[in-house]
Amino acid sequence: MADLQEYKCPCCAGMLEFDPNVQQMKCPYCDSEFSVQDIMQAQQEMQNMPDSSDMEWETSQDMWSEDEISGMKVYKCKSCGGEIIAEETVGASKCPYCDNPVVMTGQFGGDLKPDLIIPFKLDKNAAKAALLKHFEGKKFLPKVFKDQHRIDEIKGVYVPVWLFDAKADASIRYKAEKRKSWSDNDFDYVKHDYYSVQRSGKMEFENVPVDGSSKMDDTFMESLEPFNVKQAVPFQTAFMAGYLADKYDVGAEQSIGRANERIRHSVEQAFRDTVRDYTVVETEHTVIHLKNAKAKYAMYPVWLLNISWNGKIYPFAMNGQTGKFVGNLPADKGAAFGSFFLLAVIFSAVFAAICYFLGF
Amino acid sequence: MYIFIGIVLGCIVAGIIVGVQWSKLISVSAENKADHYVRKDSMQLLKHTDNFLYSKTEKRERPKAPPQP
Repeated sequence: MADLQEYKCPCCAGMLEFDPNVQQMKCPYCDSEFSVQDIMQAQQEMQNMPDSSDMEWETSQDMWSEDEISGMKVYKCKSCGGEIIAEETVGASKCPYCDNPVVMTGQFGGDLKPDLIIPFKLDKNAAKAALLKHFEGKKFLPKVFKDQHRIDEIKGVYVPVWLFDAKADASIRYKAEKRKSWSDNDFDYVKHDYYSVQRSGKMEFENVPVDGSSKMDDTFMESLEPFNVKQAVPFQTAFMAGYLADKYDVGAEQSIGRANERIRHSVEQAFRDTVRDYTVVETEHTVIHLKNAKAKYAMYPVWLLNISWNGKIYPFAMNGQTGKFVGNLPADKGAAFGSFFLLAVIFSAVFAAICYFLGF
Repeated sequence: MYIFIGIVLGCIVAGIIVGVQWSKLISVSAENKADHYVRKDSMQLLKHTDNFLYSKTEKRERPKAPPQP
């Protein structure tokens, strides 16, 4: 059975959780606070002590079949002894029996250990407040949705992410045109001056993120950017206590294509911006070489919320570091058409009056 | 004629206003660039040439007002 890690309060033995408000481990029972380093050190000392208690397991008569347990792992909760069955990528969770936060240390050991983690800076209440703020100023959001929505769950998740550095060498050729117009009494003139424009150079990129979990929608993760990697710290499992986490199931080799695609688009746009003072610019030939450094493996904080309304589930997400909130909202089509009709009538009358007085 | 122009322009403006309000409901979209991750001051232009190729001038006769009787 795989190893679970729990972090107990030295004062009252309650389960510690990482509190984003104070950026320390906090006991929800006695409110004691401890730095992550102190807890890790205490944990290490505990592990070096001989184990004086034995837990006896009763093996069940019924065993899982191969099909049932493929892709799953079985853990034992150290608090209540309950059996936790989780997907093999799950890295942190809560015991379904006693709700204690647990970290599956095997998921983040050895070669699987992340290089960096951005700890949560915002708590669950901030996520709820951000959801209500997200509803503001949306004229076509059905009022019924605002009043009757039901939050199914709010969960803080560490999403595995690959960070890529790259050096780009680019050489791009454009066909550009300058136009000049003038008139005399008899003729209108247009002069076209054609140029061949060449731009070559280099750019460097760092920490371009690509989602390393197939469970987390890539478009959602990209919508939550940017994350500030300068606030990342070296990974320690204690930061995950109280949150959910998965280890990566999309490798760096599969993710690098997306990073390079984004880098190429940025390089093309950056070089295109240096071609100025032309009326028309067309790209003729583009050569971009990318040299990638070794990818870093990081954990990024995200609050996930699901809302049920009208038989549909609406997913929302908040960047656990910056508070950026995203999620598509339903639209009141009736209100939209009504607004369009009303505005069209008003503006049509205004423009018709203007045209009449101008003599059209 | 002025009514037709007024209706067309009115519908266009109404469509733009409604379109802007509708687009506020959509906040999930892919990020196709990596502009946030450019290393500061790392962009270097090593070659920067603008070569003139040729010129072409078009001329169009202006419509003349009909002679008055």
